[in-house]
Amino acid sequence: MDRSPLGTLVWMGPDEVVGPPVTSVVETDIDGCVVLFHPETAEVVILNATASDVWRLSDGNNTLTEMIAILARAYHVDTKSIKDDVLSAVSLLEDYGLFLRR
Amino acid sequence: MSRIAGSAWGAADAALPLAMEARVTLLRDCYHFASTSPRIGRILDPLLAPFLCESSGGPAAHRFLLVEQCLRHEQDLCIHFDGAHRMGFTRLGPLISWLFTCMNGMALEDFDGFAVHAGVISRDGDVIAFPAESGGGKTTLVGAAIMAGFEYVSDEALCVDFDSGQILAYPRPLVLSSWSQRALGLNPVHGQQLCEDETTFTPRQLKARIADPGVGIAHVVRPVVRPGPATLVHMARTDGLAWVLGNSFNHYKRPAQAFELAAALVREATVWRLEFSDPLSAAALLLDQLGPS
Repeated sequence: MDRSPLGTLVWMGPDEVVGPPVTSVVETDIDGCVVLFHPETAEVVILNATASDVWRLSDGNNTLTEMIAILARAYHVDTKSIKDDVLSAVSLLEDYGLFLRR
Repeated sequence: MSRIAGSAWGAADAALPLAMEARVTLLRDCYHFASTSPRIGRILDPLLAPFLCESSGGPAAHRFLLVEQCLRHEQDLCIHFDGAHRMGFTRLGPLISWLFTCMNGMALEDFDGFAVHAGVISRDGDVIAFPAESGGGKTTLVGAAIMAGFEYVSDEALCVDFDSGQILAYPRPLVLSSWSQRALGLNPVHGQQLCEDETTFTPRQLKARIADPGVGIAHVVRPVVRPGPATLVHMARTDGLAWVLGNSFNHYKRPAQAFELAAALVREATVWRLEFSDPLSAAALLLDQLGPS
């Protein structure tokens, strides 16, 4: 099994872009948290604050490394301390089929 | 006294005289009720009163005919539904219980808006919804709340029009267990006993005013029955959204619209968790905390 140098994501390298989202996903915002509805699976996914920011950056333009760097700057923390949260969020979004398959 | 029109009620019963007739509206669909029995009429009239149509126009979506001493089917009591014999009963309580269960299922199944399993009350235009599954204490809590001064919307469903966001009143009679009656201090002789453990009370018997709920919800309350005094604490709106969608009857019919409507409702509401053991104390707490200032 390959292991990403960034963590446990086996399907994505650090220089691969994250996203873009499936176009039919319905997105709304409640109290700063993104809530997603996937019409193909009829699942609702409620994201916490970090996962919401990950989703907003998952537009198909940012790599995993870039995303971690952007969020570390925004949260005023180092990249190590935020890496696992970002990977978990990307993994969750991937598991729910919210990204377009490339 | 009118007579049953054969085409509407079934030719076999065309000669039976009617003791009562009522056209009612349940969530926008018109239902036509009739009975050959004055005794059944006296019981049904007050139970159907909150749903009576202002106008008699438009075809009925469904028709119920309740017959006592049905000679054709050799039954003490029977229900004909849309012109066909459906069920026979030996006692009136189970017949009324079956009838309202059946009506409820059809009304919610046919409703083309967003429906959530919830108790709903109102006070000066502020709507409070208690989404909960069956057995979650909704009806008892709604009964306590309307006895405390809230207006009645429903003990069963929060029903919202997809296009306008209008909330529809669905003021069913409240069916209360003997435990609930004791908890609310109600005497079963003031309602209509359905069986040993259940009595139905009309909103009027509980001195409730039926609300015209309007648009939007002020509060979403998750009721939790547990020992101890009543407490009301904030919940995140996102948890409220999950709770509302999780208790929806029909989100699967128009899922994307249901999602967007539920999100819009919750976004404008305050979300609470109400823990209680005594429904009267819980209602007093709601009145104190969520009633208009």
